[in-house]
Amino acid sequence: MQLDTLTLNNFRNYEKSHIKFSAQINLIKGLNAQGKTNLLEAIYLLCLGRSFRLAKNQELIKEKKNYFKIQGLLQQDNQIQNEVIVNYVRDGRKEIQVDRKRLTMHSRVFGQFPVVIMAPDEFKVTAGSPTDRRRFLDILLSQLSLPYLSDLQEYNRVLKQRNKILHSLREGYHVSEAELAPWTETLVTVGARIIKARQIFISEFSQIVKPLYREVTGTNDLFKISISSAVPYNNEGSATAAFYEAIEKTKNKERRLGTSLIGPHRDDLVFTINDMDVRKYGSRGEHKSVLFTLKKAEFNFLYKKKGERPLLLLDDCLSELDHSREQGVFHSMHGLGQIFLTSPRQELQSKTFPFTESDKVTCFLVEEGKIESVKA
Amino acid sequence: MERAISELSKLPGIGRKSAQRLVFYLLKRPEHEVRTLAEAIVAVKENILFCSVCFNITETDPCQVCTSEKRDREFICVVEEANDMLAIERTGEYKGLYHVLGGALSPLEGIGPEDLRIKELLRRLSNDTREVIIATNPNTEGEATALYLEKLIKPLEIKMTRIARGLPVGSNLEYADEMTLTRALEGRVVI
Repeated sequence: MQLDTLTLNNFRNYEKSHIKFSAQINLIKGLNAQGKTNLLEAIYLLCLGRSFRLAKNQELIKEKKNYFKIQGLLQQDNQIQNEVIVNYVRDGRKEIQVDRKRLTMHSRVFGQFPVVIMAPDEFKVTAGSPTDRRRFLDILLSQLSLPYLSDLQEYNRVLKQRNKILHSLREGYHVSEAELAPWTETLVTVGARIIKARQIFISEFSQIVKPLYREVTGTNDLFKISISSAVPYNNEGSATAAFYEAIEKTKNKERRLGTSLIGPHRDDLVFTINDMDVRKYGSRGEHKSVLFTLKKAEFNFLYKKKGERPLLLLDDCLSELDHSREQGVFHSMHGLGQIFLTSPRQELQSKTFPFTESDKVTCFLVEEGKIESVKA
Repeated sequence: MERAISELSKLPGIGRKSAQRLVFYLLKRPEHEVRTLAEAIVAVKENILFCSVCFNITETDPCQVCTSEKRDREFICVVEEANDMLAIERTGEYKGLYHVLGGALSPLEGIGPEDLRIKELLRRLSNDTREVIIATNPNTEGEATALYLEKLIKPLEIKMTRIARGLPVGSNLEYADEMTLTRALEGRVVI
């Protein structure tokens, strides 16, 4: 996967920009608040149709303008080219086009252009809330399977409907128990599919992650990843029966709290190093190593399953690394495919990447929403 | 003129700009033509009513389907809206009766069983009813409505069926999107 060119119109602080990228390393330099991250955000938006910063469409429009438009030429490893356009007019509906054909469902862009992002906010995957961890899981799984994404969307819809009834029951509005039943049934049917897909994924993913962690840290530590779920599922058959049983057990509590307590929307990822829970007891360094391992595994997993190297977006990832770790990162970048790397450090240049030929590195300078390629 | 634009833009699928275009168009038409249109719109409200049996829209009560001698009274096909019934009628394949629910269950929009014509449906079922066909939409709300009806009607020991979902006829397998194909595979039948 490779992004050849990118055209921005009124996107964030860019008014008009047209950029041609290198097939390997793109080093994007610039002081803070000049628009480096915005550039990565635009690339991510092209690939997945949404912002990794969870920004609303309105916020993506340049000040005092009425619309934004992002246009990119993406080339798959087998040379097939796709033109992707994302555009949004204020108060309208966002539009995504692939090769001039409008997608009626935006989620359908998922998985066509695999992408992995490493940004400062991603520390939440290990240190944040279960929601952050499920997001990591869901974005990766959705890039691999459209039926998964579609199940997820339906599940969330059913969940809202079911919660509404539970809420009404608690408040004593005019609702009957019988009205809850069809929503419980759909919740279980769709939810069981999600639980199963996550389990199958995690058992395969953990195989990749274990040796990677040792490689990243250079230790012999045992890193494990698993899912903790309110629905006990033993990896065999369907999760439906266990799901029903768990709901039945919490019946009274659900009525009392007026919300759904059982299901994949309560799942969490558990990371352990030598049986120590990283989420609670991990040191700063361990959190970083785990995140780096997860991201690397995400890249490898997508590559393996799609047969396509994902775009790799690294937003300001070097700032806190010491020299030897930095060298380790540069070394591991070799052979990964196309990389976009932002940094406020002006002294970085092509020879900073000792493992990549200098003609494969392109440097850019971002200043107040303008980007130009500079001598490496 | 402002009033006409604002009234028209309240219609579904018509925004302010379309409304403006329509008003400008009407301005250019002869008066009798515009009057005919206005009368036709009023007549819809005055002459058209809901069938008291199946809740289809009709000019006579009960509607033509419900009174027809040619229809098979042993079958009742349950749909969300009158539009859906018209779509099935266009096939010319179904000879039974209909029941229009007037929507689908959606707690978020405040639509519960009381807001749909479910009680009326149950009242219609009798020993003569051989099969109830549930033809609600294949989306989240349509499926929930189907499940809700199933729980009510199954105990009456009346045969219930749900229309199949799968590939559109006349299309190519390779053009079907993954979702439709996945569901079609799930709903595969033995041959």
